Formats: sequence, structure tokens, C-alpha cells
Amino acid sequence: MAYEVVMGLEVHAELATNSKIFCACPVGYGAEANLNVCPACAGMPGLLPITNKKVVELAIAAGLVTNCQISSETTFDKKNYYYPDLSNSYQITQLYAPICRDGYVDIHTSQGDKRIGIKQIHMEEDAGKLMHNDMLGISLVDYNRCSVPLVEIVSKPDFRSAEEVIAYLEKLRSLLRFAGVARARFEEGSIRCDVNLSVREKGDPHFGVRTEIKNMNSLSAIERAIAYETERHIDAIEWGEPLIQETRRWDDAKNASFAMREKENAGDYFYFPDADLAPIEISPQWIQQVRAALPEMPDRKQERYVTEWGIRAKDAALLSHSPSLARIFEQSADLCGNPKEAANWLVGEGLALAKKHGIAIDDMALDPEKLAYLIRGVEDHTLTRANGKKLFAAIFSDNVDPAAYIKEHNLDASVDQGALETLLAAIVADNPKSVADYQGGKTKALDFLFGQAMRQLKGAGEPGEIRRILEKLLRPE
Amino acid sequence: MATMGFCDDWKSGQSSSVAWTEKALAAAAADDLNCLTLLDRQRCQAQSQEVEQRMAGGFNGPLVGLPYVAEDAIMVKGQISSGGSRMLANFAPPFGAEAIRRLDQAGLVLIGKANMGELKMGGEESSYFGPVIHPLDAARRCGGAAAAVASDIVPLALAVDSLGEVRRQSAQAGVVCCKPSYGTVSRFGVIANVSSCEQIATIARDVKSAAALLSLIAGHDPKDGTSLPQESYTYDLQQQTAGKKVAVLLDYQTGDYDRRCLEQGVSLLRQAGVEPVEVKTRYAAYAHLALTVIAAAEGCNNVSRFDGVKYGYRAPEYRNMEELYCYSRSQGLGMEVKQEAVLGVYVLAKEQYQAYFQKALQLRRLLWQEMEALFREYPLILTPLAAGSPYLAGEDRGGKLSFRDRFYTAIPSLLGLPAVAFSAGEDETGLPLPCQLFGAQGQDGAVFAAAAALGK
Amino acid sequence: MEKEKFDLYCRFNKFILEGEEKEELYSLVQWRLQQLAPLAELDCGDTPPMVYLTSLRQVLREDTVEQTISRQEILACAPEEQDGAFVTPRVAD
Repeated sequence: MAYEVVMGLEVHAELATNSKIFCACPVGYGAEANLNVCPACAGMPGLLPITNKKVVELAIAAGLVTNCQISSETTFDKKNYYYPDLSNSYQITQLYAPICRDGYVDIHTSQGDKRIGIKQIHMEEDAGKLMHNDMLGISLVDYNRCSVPLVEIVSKPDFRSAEEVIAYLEKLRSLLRFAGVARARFEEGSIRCDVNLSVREKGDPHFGVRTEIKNMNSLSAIERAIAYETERHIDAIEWGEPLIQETRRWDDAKNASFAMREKENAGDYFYFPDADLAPIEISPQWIQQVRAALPEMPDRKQERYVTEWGIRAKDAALLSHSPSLARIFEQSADLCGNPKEAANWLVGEGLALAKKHGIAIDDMALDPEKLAYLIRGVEDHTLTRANGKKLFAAIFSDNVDPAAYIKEHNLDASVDQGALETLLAAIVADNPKSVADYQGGKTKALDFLFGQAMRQLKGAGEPGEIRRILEKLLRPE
Repeated sequence: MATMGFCDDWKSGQSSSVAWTEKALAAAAADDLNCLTLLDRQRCQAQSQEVEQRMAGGFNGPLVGLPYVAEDAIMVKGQISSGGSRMLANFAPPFGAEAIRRLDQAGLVLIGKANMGELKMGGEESSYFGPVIHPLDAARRCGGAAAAVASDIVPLALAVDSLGEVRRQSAQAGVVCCKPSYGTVSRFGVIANVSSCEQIATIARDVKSAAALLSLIAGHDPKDGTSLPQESYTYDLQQQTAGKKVAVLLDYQTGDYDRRCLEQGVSLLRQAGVEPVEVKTRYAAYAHLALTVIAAAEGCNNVSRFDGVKYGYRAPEYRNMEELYCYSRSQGLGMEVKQEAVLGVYVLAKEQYQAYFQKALQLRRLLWQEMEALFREYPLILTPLAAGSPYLAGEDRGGKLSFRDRFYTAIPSLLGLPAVAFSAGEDETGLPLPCQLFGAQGQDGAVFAAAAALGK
Repeated sequence: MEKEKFDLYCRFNKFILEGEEKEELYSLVQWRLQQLAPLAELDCGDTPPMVYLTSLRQVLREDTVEQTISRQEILACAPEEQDGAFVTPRVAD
């Protein structure tokens, strides 16, 4: 039997603001418990929510980069449930009139190009965090994250494989990061993804029973969770076991998903409009302002790298993926005047080193001026390509000053042309047999002479130049 | 000195804030009506001395130096603000209401907090601190803020007009209550019940003083997203009322008591040169039902934050989180709050949302449209405020009577309209017959002026 | 309201009631629902709901940080506090 998996995603991204969505508390990571808290986000009575303008603008930006319609008027609703990390026992979110609707994101996978539909994007507040102490049998409640602004980006059920999901998430992350909407890092929880998954026989027009999987904190966890859950659904179908519509929690350590305890509200959150928050009016002018302030998006960058700078399509895709990498690339390309070389160094050396050291691409911090210095050095033969790699690694890991590093490690390849020619002439003179072999057609003899030269030069001199001079000297008169 | 004709009877010749404050403190100490939940001697004595100094420096105003009480739902920084509930009986918030801040600045002296129905959700019997005894008949019940003014403890009070009970209680105690249009007074620092309807109202012996007090707390507050942009308000009570048309709603003539109230009201209007016209409406009789549904939903949501985790009451014994929640809320909240909360979940649940909550919001619009049309012809509307005398002791247990009388008070609450409540006369036992006038949103001054023209 | 639904809605509100108190609450809620029957039966057609009482549009706040009340003042109200956090029994995941 052939099966098809059908998935839809709910992606939560924390918006890159200074303050929270409905109060003026700071937003930040790693603060001591409850330092970023005021009476409003600590759930005291008598406080009224006042919406942060930046939140609305970032949500509009999120809608624009995902090709959504922006609502001319948007309102907030309350979602009610009890949990200790939810200080008010309700979450302010958007049910009836979300800020963005009907968009799409284009992705590329090994199967080709595909368009993923966006159902809606809405603004909401985050909940706090619990820290469990099993020894004491207590939980400690920290409301720092309470009321941190989020957008929830709800896709249509358009995914048919984990590869599509990952491609979409990488694309979405990149869009949100370029637009300055969100930090969007899985490892710190500033982007989170719930997967709604069902399995059906291929060709069946009806969807299978759907489960929602939560709590994956990396792309690889999402991939594994999808594989596990798909398998679980297929097993159930084949063995004729019932599947229940439920929410499941991914346990990364056990590499398995587990049904979450059903809340007593049986899926009803008693939503109703929040009368404390009047409607927000979004004028076409405002949308235009947000649009005008958006930087160049990755798709456009990729296209420009290929058509204007002649970068290979694959490299252009890699370089345009991350805002920080794109910035390093564009700046160093401008500074050295050779975009292709900048691309070669960044893709060939940069990404390899990042992978080797386990550094996220977004965290690569290369100084474009230093990279440009390196590229210029290689170009004018003062630096050999091999030594350039050494220098690149040193800049990459220790942010060294290139001039000082070259001097300290004797990497300067510039040799006086006259001296070089004298030295090579001497080598030719000292090895008549090799000269005769070469002139007799054994071109390999040149390699021997070249090796001699390299040994004596100890890394100085540009190899191509040395070969060129040797060839000239060996040419019969 | 503030001798501009405000609260003159109460001042009884005294002319310093310290003297007024001492008078109020002495009366409060002798209070046998259970009007107050808290008396803050230190705060108000310090405040009255400070006001004296400011006055010596030339600071003045109509109500400067006068003492007042605030209902316990109006929070005061560092002072227990219980909202009449066991749940908050130990809760001293680290911030206070905007209205209190404005009155501090205006040089009024806060004596203490007035007793109230639990969290504005409960009726006359629901306060954790016990019921308030009626100032005019010890066998009956009243609200703390109205009783404090009616028994002359203070000349002025702030109370939250949530479902209209404050208007009813004031008028039945023979004092006046001015409720502003929605969005006039900041709700910052007010323990919320019906967020989409409620406003702080003012209580005094006469409209002039109540309106003056209101103008001190009214005006835009950026901390309240529903606060209207107008920066300040003054109410012209001299404006012409004679010659205006007043609608008397026939919907409210259901029994002897409300008819008598209306008769008295009508005769006052005639004396003031106003011709009342009887009008029957289509939707007025549904207003209290819509209000009840909205109040239950919003109230349920507003009290859900009381969970024993962050502040307030926590049950002494529990074995796990669920028990902490359940025991804290079951012990900390009273029967009438529980009733509203269960009802709130009922009207919001998917199965009933359309039939109840959605219907209530639709009815609100229908009634709004009907009233708008009515106001075009009749700028003022007169209604009675109760179906019977103030409740006898124990009679309102479970809140059935306060629900019954919501019938009369609902429209201004549900639609956020300005209203003024007053006694239109007396019954044979000397108890006031309560009436209210209300008008279109923003017509607060005209509404208050009309009551002033009736001699209130 | 059926008894089961009443029980469910009490549980959702985190009310745990026994015996007489529970019966009293049930009868109060039932009575209130009877009073509401005329509203539930009213036909309002497709009248749009009216949530807000003013025609106000929201005035938004600039994205600036402001903190005037300290953690200490907030935690001072807590029934139980440890290491700057509110304490509850171990919460199930």
C-alpha cells in the first residue's frame, strides 16, 4: 500500500522588540527569574493591556514577506485556560480578525519548486516558564517570558514530506530574519514549530486522523518527529488500530512522541473578544511604510548574485540564506571588487570551518575588511592560496589582524623578480639531466625542478609565476 | 478656603482639611453599618496636613481638603485592596488606581475603603466582610460607598458602576450617584469585573458635588486603552433643562413600586418645566439579560487570574497543583462569584456561544440603535431603579434580588451611557423612591444638569 | 444545564464543591439560566455583534522599556517564593 503524509505547520516566532506586547517590560534572554516582570505580566488585577506599535509593524512585515493580505482592521481575543506559566489564566491572541491572511512561501526541494500556502498570521503573547525541582517536589514559576510578543504563522496542509517541512522552515526563518521580524533560533526557543500530521492512502481525497506534535527544539528533531509519527500512523492503519485526534509531545531523548494529558476543557478555550483592546486600524499608507523599510529579501539577493555578479547558483543560494552571511559577502565583495572570489572563500572555506567548529551560519562573524584584504593579497600574489587558507582560518577563529599575522608567520609571498629569476636560473644550471629530460619530451622533469625551487623558496613566491619562469628558462633557444 | 458651596451641610461650619478629616475619622470609627473595610488613619492624617500646607500656599479648588472613601475594588498602593473578597483580603498591590492618584493631586483626603459586593459580581449579601446595613433602616441592606455618604461619614465617595447596583444603592439611600460615559474615567487600578461596561462613578449628597468630584478624576489616561482622548471634563449644570423632552419608558412599569418611583420622577420633571412622554421600546426589557451574559463572561475571565499562585489567598493544604488551584479558588471565592464564573463558561462554550454570548452582543447593538433613535427625539430618559425597597437582611443571598433590579439599571451599563441616580421622593416609611435619568454617550453634562434642575 | 456540564464547567473554573454547597450553586445557576431564556430565544438575525462601546481605534505604545515596580515588590505579594520565583507544587508536563 502506498501512503501519503499530509502536514500543516504552526510556527511561533518571538518578535524582535525591546519591550513586551502589552506592557513595557524588557524582553531578553537569560535574565534572572522574574526580573523582566511588572504587575501586568504577573497577572495582577487592575492592569490594562496597551499594544506595542512595533509588534504590529513586525507582524505586518511578516505578512509582507510571506505574500499575505494585511487586514485593514484587526482585533484581539482572549483564550482561557489554567496553567501556572500563564499568569492571567488567559492568553491574549487573535481568533476572529487576525492581522494577516492568505499568503504563501515558495520552497525548493530535491523534487523541485513548490508553493506552500499560509492560512493566517496572528499576534499573541507568550507564556512564562516553569523550572521543576523533583527533589523538593516543586515548580518555580518565572514570568519573564510572559507577554513576550509572538506571531503564529499557520500554514495550509500543503506539506507532503519532511524535506518540504525543513525547506519551508529554513526559508521562513531566513525571511523573518532578513525582515528583522524575529531572531528565529530554534536552539533558544525564539522560533518553535508544531506539526499537524495525518496519513492517508495515496489518492484518497479525505484526510486521515490528525495528530499535533509539539516540543521539537531543532530542525533535526522535527525531521525525526515527522518520521516517527508517520511510521506510527502507518502502523496503526495497517494493523487496524484506531488513531485518536490528539496532541503529542516529542521526547527528543527517547526519540518518540507521547500523548499529552487531555485538559479538562475538552479542547474548548472559551474564546471571546478582548474589550480592553480597541480595534487596530491599519491604513494602506502604514503598510506602505513598513514595506518601504524592508531590506532586500533572500530570493532577490540570490537572483542578483547570479545575474549581476556571476556567482554559481548553488553558492548564491547558500550566501543569501542568512542575513549575517549575506552582509559579510556583500561587504567583502564590494571592498575587494571581486565578488566571485569573495563567494569562493566564504563558501569553500567559511562554511567548511563553520561546520567543523559547530558554529551556526548566523553566528559566523567575519570582518569583511579582513576578508577583502586576504582576497587582494592572493590576487596580487603577495599571498599564496595555501597561506591564504591559513590566514582565513586565523581570521575565522581568532579575528586576527591579517597584516600582522602575515608578518608574524612569514607568509609574505612577494619575492623580488630579479632575485627569483637568478635563483631559478641557478637551479636550472645545477640540474642538466632534468633539463635534457625535459627538452627530450619528459615534461615531468619540470615538476622536479619546481619542487627544488619551492624547497629553496620556503613558501615565498607565487607557484604559477615560478612555473612560468621555469618553462621560459627550459625552452630551447 | 474651599467654601464655594460644595458639601456645605457636611462641613457644618468647619473650614480646615484637618478638622474635616478628624470629623470623618471619628464618624468612621463609630460606624455601625459596616460601611468600611479599611480605615487608614495615618495616610489620611498625613494627607490632610499636606493639603493644609498646599492650601496655605494658595492651592485651592471646589473640593480641596474634603475626605472621601473609595470602594474596595479601587486599588490603593500598599493598602489592602480586597474587592470585598476573601481571595484578596491579604492583597496590598504595589501600585494604585489612576483615579486615586488624581484625587491625591487634587488635594482630597482618602479616609478608607468602602465595603462592596464580592468583586462587583455579588449582591448585597456577598461581601467577605459581611453585608452593609442600610443607613435609613437597620433591617435592610446597602452598598458601602452609598452608606458612607448617606450616613455622613464622608461627603464624597468613589464606587465602581459595574452593573448599576451603585446607582440603585445610592438612590435608595437618598444620595446622588453620577455615572459617566464609558471611557471618561481611567479604569487603571480598578479590579475589573465587566471590563466592557464599567466606570468609576461618584457619590455625594447633591449632583453639584458628585459632578465636581467626577470632573477631578475624568480625562484621558494612556494607561487605559479604552480611555477617550478628551483631556479634561467640566460639567455645566446651569444648562437649560426646561423645555427638553424626556422619555419615560413604559417597559419599566411592572408593579406598584416601580410605578410609584416613576410617578414621583414624572412630577419632579413637571415641576422643572419638562414634559415627560411615555414611550414603549422593543429591546429595553432584554437589556439586563444581555448585560448578565456579558458580565458573566467578562467577570469569569477577570477572576480567573485569582489562582493562589502569585498573590492573594492560597489554601492551607493541597497535595498537588490541581488541588492548589481548586482549594484556593473554592475557598477564596464566594458563592455568587462562583455562580457568575460557571455561567460565564457556559455562555462562552462553543455549544452555547451563539445562543448566549453572541446574542448578547447582537442585542447590545440593537438596543444601541434603538436608543440612538430615541435620543434624537428625547435627549433624556427617566426610569425607576428598583422593583422594591432595599433588600431585607439575608433576602439577597444568592443574588436573585440584585439580578431582578439589574432590569432597571442595565441600559446605561450595557451601552456605556451617562446616568444620574437620585431619590425622587419617599414612600410612606420614609425610604427614598429611586429614579435615574440617562442620555446619549457624551451628554454627561446635560444629564447631570437635568438632575440638578430637579433640585438634586 | 445538565449536571455533567455543570460539573465540567465547575472543573474548568477550578472549583471543587461538595454536598450542599454544590447543590446550592447548581440551583442558582439553573435559576439564572431560566431567567436568561428569553434572550436565548430572541432572534437577532444577522445583526453584527457590538463588542466596543466607543468608536475608538487603539492608540499604540512606542516600543520603549519602562519598569517602575521592582521584582521585590511583586514577589512581596506571593504566597510562596524561592530564588526570585513563585513556588507551586511540581507541575505535571
